[in-house]
Amino acid sequence: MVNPILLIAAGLGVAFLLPVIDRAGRVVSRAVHLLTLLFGLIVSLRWLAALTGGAQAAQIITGGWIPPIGINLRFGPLEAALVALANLTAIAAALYLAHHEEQSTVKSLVIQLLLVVGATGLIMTRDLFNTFVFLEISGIGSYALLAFGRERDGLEAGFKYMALGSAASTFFLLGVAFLYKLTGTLNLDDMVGKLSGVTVAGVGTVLLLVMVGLMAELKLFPLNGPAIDIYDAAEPGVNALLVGTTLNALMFTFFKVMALYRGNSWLLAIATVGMTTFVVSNLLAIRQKKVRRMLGYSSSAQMGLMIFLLPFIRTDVVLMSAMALLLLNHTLAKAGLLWLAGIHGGRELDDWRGAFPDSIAMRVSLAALILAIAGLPPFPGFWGKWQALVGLARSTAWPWIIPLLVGSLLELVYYFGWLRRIVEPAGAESRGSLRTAFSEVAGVLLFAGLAIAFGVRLTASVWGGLGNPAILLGIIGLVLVVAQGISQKAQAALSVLAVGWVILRVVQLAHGCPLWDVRGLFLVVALFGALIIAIAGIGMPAGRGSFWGLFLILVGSIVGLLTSDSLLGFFAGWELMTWSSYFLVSQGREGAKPGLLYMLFSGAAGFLILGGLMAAEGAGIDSMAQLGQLSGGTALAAWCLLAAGFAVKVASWGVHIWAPGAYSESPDLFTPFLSGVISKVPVFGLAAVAARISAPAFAAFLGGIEPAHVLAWVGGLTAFGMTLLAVFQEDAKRLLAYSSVGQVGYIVLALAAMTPLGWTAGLWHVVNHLLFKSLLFLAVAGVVYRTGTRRFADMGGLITRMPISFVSVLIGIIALSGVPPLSGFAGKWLLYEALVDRGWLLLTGFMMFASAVAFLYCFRLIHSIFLGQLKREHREIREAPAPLLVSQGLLMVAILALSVRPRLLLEPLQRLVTGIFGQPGLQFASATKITSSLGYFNAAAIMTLVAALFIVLLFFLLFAGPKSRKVGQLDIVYAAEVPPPPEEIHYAWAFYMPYERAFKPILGSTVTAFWSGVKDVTEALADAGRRVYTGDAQTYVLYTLLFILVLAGLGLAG
Amino acid sequence: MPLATKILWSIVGVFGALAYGLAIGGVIRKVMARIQGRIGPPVWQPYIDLGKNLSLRTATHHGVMSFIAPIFRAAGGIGVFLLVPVVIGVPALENFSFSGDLLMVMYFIFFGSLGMALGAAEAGHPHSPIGISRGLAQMSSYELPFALAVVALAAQAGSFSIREIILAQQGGWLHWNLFANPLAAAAAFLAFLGMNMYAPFNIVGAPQEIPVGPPTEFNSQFLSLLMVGRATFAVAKIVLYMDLFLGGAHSLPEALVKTFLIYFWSIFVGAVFPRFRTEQSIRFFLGWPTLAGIAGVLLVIFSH
Repeated sequence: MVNPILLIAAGLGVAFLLPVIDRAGRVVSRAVHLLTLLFGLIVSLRWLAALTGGAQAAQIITGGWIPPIGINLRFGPLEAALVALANLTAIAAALYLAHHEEQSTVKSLVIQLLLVVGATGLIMTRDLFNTFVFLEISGIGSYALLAFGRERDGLEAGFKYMALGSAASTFFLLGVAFLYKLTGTLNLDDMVGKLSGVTVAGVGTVLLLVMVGLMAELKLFPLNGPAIDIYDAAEPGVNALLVGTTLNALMFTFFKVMALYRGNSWLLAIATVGMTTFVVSNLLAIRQKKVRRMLGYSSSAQMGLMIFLLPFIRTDVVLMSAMALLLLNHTLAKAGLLWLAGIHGGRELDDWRGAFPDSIAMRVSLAALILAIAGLPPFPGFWGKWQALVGLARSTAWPWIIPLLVGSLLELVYYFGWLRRIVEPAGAESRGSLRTAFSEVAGVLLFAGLAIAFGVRLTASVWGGLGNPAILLGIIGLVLVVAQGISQKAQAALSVLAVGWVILRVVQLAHGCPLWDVRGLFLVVALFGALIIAIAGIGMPAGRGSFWGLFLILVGSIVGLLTSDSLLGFFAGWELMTWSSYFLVSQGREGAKPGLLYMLFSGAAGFLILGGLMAAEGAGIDSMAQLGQLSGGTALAAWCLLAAGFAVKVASWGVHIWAPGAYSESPDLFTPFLSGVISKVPVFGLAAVAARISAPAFAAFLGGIEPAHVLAWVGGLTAFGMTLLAVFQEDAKRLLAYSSVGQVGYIVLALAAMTPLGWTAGLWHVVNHLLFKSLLFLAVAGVVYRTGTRRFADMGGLITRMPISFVSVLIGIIALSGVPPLSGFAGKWLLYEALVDRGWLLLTGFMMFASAVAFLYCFRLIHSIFLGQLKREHREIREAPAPLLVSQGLLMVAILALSVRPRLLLEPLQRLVTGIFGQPGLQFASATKITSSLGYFNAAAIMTLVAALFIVLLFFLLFAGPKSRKVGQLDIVYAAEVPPPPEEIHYAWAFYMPYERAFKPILGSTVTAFWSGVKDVTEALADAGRRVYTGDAQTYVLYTLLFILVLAGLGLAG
Repeated sequence: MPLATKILWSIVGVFGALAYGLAIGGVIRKVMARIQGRIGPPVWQPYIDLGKNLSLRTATHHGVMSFIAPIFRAAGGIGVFLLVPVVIGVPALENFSFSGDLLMVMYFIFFGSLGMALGAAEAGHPHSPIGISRGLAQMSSYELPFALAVVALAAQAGSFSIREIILAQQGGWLHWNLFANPLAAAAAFLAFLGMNMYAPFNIVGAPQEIPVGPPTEFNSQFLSLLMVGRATFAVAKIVLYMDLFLGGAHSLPEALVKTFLIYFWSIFVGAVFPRFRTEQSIRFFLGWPTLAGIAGVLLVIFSH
């Protein structure tokens, strides 16, 4: 094995020789430069392989002197990994920088190499003075590289940056000098031992100096002003190089010197500074309009997060891997994004609308890296954060979880604010293309590829290997996203095959074991819903080119979530589902803004859930099955947080404002899935959690109020409020959107009853809502596809042109409203009986009212589209495409089957609830009669009655009285006048005006006002915070002073 | 009872209900005319109308939905009637109430209204959807007090079975829900006014403002079926109220007396009060009747 010291030696040697080699031509010097870095990469990777294989870490003694006298270097697995990462970043950076005139000189090449050498040295050395030397090499290198920029702002920023850097290393050097005086050694390992024997009072101040030096180098808040200016002013490629080399090396240095800080007050001080940086930097970033500055704040935040973790690593090794994953993630994502920022050239956020319109590779890389840095799965940062949280949850430091989650939410706000521009449709002003040479973008592609590869690998490790259907669906989806040139219809057909294959796999897997647990039920719902959408997709275009790829990733994530038993597997699937559905929502014509709102509320829901899961993890529970072991206050906390998160995701009243936009602006083919399947996933979560954590036991904690009863009212209020709002919508999809949210409210309410009958009602409704709401949304999708409008006032009379779609909507609204003889009635019947059975009488009454209100929008939907007057321009319109009708046909068949024989579903549901509650909710008195403790109904008998009456009366109509004749639409009794044209007499706008008048007092928009208030306050805070950075060097000096005082106060207190 | 006999009795029952329903309609028109100082049509006028409609020489419709809407309407009316027991203890007159409980009846009521609305809307006359929007708005608002009353009764009887609710009221008229839970009864009887769409809640039909609309767009046998539906539905409703609040009936004469009285409640009110606008009637139902309904439910909760 090559001696690692050669890494430093080779780098230094080549750096000095490069100007000479350059005489032979720039190509040669570049090649030598790259070869040197490649050498470093290969050597460190081979060492890494050997070290992880169990080899001993290398101890290198220089100059023949034994430490502590001589300088020694260490090369363990961490060091090897960091050096490899530094060399890798440097290679990609060199390729990128070669395309930028100012950085293509030989001087730049030399300095780039010196930066790598400096970083390697910082990582390997165990000697404090030696650390200072490498600190200086890195520092000088970075000032020089940054100074190559010729802009005035850049130079000024560079100067301030240099001033701060010099001050920082001065502090560090002073600290080291005093430490030497106190301990008589410069060797770190030796010093740790000797320091404990030192009892001089000033030792704290000395340690403070070292710490301030390092923290200033790492640009923690509020010392990060100049660094952020640098991000804005300097070439992004240089910053990318610094992230991968110097910054990581500094972080590792801090990690090494942590051994000196023993006292709890020091640890608290470090954690406080780190967390403050994390939260504040993320807060300030949300008001940034400039991309590079935003990335700068983000770097500060990420450094803050890692610094925050340092004190805890000593007590928990899990945090070590958390830290490693976070660092890897930050390097890949931040460097990649900085290069992308350079290639794209857009400085303002708004310059990024529809970025890279002609290059899917760049768009995918951009999206992947943003997701990575935002801490979403499958990227390494997600797993890092999870482990960090688990580590915290299991220690007494758990309260830190709260600011960590708040900061992470803020991070989502600005990164998805950026993404919102990127996912907007490309316009004439969209910038960024792949016209540039491949080598310039190689680094981006490499880092994005690595992030994805790590991600897939990590996810597979949690979800049962690469062969798991969920992972395979995700990989097929990824391929489809990248694959250009396959037509949308072919992609939809492929999706049908892929989903069909998964269904077969699942059936196979389930063979012989009871599929009908809650999980099996939701798996069936999800896969059937996905299949329906994919079939419909063969008939009409959906969203943009990447629609089906993202769709498969989404389906895969739901399958993974449903089949994974560990809390981590569940949450990974949850977050994957969140972002993949975000992209799909954003593909709608006006979907970018509603998509952002969707993402932010989903993100907040995710963090609430994460909080709940951490309450469980803190108690040592890491699988769903063990949740039942929770007890006392922990159980209460877990239950409340999880329920709150799920309640946000089902858009309960009060947090519903994201739903109407997301549902209505999604691509028409995605909305059915959003409503039918995705809204059911939180219901699954609720069911899975509620089945295990017993909520009634909490009553004692809350003075007799049951949390389940509160949840029931939340569900009931949602059902009523959303139903009422649906009545006043002028847009078919918006109407159905409100309706969907309301319907899920019923499900939540029914499950909250926590009785066999309540669960039967809720789970029945899960299936039934999937069927009828997908049917309605698909039928409307066909109408929108043909007419090009969603507005009721622009439709009308389509029954003659689109009769099958009409029948779909008719069946859909009958099943929705609960009118017998279709399946909706069973749902209403079950719900009311369950509620009365539970003793929730007032709720029952209000739900009956809500159901009656639902008739209003049901009628409005079918009337405004299909009945009334046909517009003249729609006289030649065709029926929806055949595949769309096939999907609807499948749904109708399913609805009819459940209507005639509710036992098909009710019987398995009884087995399911018996498994949970120990007794069924229903009895089957005969083959068709269903009874509960309160009532009964016979679906087949009612169906027969209706059919018999219908046939008899039809015969009466046909044979009694004269033969009837069909007359034209305008052949109506119009008060002795000639009726005006159809457009003027189609009654569709403001359909329920009197209703609106009657309900005016309670229809205020207080909820919207509340949330815009939250937004305003957050933004005002961020704006106020940004004033900290005056750009004036004197204020920065003042901050440094204040920082030291605060740190001293915290650290020396103990 | 064999199914064939059952079916035979049901046919007899439906025709009986039709005859009774038409007659009641005639009586009401007569009474209203007398109150207003007119002579009014003969009591048997609805029978004449039905015969006239069936013997017209032409019939027109506006498409499939407008063709089958009267079927929906009539099937809705007859269906509801067939699900409500008329005379308790006489199997022939308990109809098919064993096939569905009170909830089934409540939702079957919507069946006819939905079909009617669809058919009228297809005819393309703008006044039809206006009438329907008013009707649905009013329907949803009286549904709240009615639902609360139903919940109170079901909780009181421990069952949604109409038969069980009747049986729980036996043992003298003071056991009737009218007296056992007067608050729920008040809510339900106020809701009944809206259900019947007589004044002050008759803006739905609005004979003055909308001189055209559903009835005029339907003619001959279509209109006959609508009349059949209306008549049987009216009977079904009063029988249901009798079962829920007046202890049901043990004989046919008892049923006739009780149902006639129930129907007259809305006539008394209708003859005295002027018409509400739609939003006024909505606010009315969501006001006192709803409070009465809530109080009725609370009465059940706290007395158990």
